[in-house]
Amino acid sequence: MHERAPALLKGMKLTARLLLCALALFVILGPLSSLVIWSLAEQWHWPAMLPQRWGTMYWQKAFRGELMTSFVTGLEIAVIVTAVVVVLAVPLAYVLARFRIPFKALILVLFLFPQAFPALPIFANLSTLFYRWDIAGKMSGVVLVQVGAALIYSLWTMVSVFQSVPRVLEDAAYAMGASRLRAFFDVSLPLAVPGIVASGILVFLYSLDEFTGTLLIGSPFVKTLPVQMYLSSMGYEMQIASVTSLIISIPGVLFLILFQRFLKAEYLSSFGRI
Amino acid sequence: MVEIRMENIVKTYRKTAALDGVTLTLKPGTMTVVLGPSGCGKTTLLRILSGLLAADSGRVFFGENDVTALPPQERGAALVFQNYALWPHMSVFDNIAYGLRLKKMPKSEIARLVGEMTELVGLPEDVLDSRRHPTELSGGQQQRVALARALVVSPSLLLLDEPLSNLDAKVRSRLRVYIRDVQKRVGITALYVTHDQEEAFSIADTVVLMDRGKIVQAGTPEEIYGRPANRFAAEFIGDSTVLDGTVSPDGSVCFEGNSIRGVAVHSETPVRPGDAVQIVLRSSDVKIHPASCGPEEPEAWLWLSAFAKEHMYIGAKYRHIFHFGKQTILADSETEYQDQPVRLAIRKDAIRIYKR
Repeated sequence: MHERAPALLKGMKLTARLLLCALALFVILGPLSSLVIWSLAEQWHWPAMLPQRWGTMYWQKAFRGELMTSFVTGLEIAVIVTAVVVVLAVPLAYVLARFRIPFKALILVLFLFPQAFPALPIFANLSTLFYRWDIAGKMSGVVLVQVGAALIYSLWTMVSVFQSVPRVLEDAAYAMGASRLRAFFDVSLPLAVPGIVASGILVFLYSLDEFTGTLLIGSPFVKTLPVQMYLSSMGYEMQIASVTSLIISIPGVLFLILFQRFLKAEYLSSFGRI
Repeated sequence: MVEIRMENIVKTYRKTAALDGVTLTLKPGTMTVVLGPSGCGKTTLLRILSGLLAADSGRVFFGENDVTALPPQERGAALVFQNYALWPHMSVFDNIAYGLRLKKMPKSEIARLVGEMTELVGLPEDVLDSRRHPTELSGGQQQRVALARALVVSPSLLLLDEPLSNLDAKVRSRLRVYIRDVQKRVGITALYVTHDQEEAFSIADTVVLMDRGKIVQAGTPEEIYGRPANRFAAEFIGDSTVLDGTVSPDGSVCFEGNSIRGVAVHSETPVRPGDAVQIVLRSSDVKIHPASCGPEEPEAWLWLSAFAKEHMYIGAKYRHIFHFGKQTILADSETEYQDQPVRLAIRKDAIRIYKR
């Protein structure tokens, strides 16, 4: 009896853990599995539990047709947006992190301001402006609207990245004779690279998933996958929508795994500290 | 080797004066140690010398050159920091070679100088293996790398900002001897900032004692210890006991019923009977004798009767605590006194009395 008790306890613990894992898997993979089934259903009428006819027709359609074009457009936009945001945010974040700037907190909050309002009216208003500038329905317009939104997030993360690089390391370089610019490129920037990469990945994923702005500014000429998915769901093509969402989630999953490797706890601990 | 001069430096942070008119000359090739409690302005002084911080007013000269307006890059003052400040993404070799590369020296020359400097600061040659990064080294070794990085560019001034404060006691006492030795061998003018008086006394040519943004006293370690210039110096240096007393009608100083004769009061204005004074003495100057010992040589020694009640073992000796009314005197001795009357003997020339 005495010997069996711990074994029993162990067994119960193991069962509990397995149940928890199963629950987690169900929560994570449940919705995904329905997407997979839908994407492979060529015919599925109520009240059947599973599709009547299975096949890869919609996948083939996706790889042949517009879906792939939208995917490539989305990737192109994401790459450009990420590059522009990183190039803008790195120097801006460095300056905000290192120098005593009057109203620094206010500036950072101002950057967050657009987030305080619903996105739809903001983008709708922007689109009239963009039509006047003749960049609506063009790639440049979509890039501009996404850069505007992504810069905010990127700036907030990168300011904390640069704050986590000890100032004394730059002082040491100055004392050795390095100019400010030289010290930035030799010391601060290399030490901030993991944080910059992490921030860049977040921007890339944001851009790939961005919907409201892209729809209002870009369509009908510039269509990314989320827009495509929305348009096809409107036509009640669940299959196309499912294929689209599965394709969209691939880069997301890949990059989140990368992101986890680059993000350091220190960045999070100084996040939002000004 | 040049003389470094600071003239009337003032630096104020939000209305509090970090440096309040500091004038100081560092003689060529000497080690000057700035000593003081935290917040006395010693680190501010060092940062102003390095050029990392600008003074509100005053001038800094390196030799004949007025460098007051020059940024750190153009001053040629090398820094060693408390937390080493080595660049973690560079190898040990690249850390030391950084200053030389900025000077665009040929590769072979850089390798030679880095090798020489590594040997000089007592690091094993294998730390220069291109894969070795500073974070793999011990704290003491990291500070040696920092020292090598600073010295390799042959700076005109070496600044050390509490370089040993992050190290444990054993490494600390070993490394300070080493730093002093290297400084002498290179013959560089150095300024060393610390709050540790033992460290200061053991390596300095000149000790500069600072308090609240001002230089209290500058001199050799012997001068600072033996002839403190004022109450702060007397209290800060050594294991000091401070007692409150008053001036008696006959001009002697009285504390808790004991009178002290033959010790002058340090004061800018003459003292009058009834004035409050502070009596500063070091526990190392207080000797404990059995009560049977007579008060000998009363001109040179102050004798006090006391009762031994409390003591603690502090390693190699006992620290006794004697109560006089509400005040206490600490005294160390190798023998243990317990529950017995004793006599304390204090050399009068070691007693300092200041007007409050």
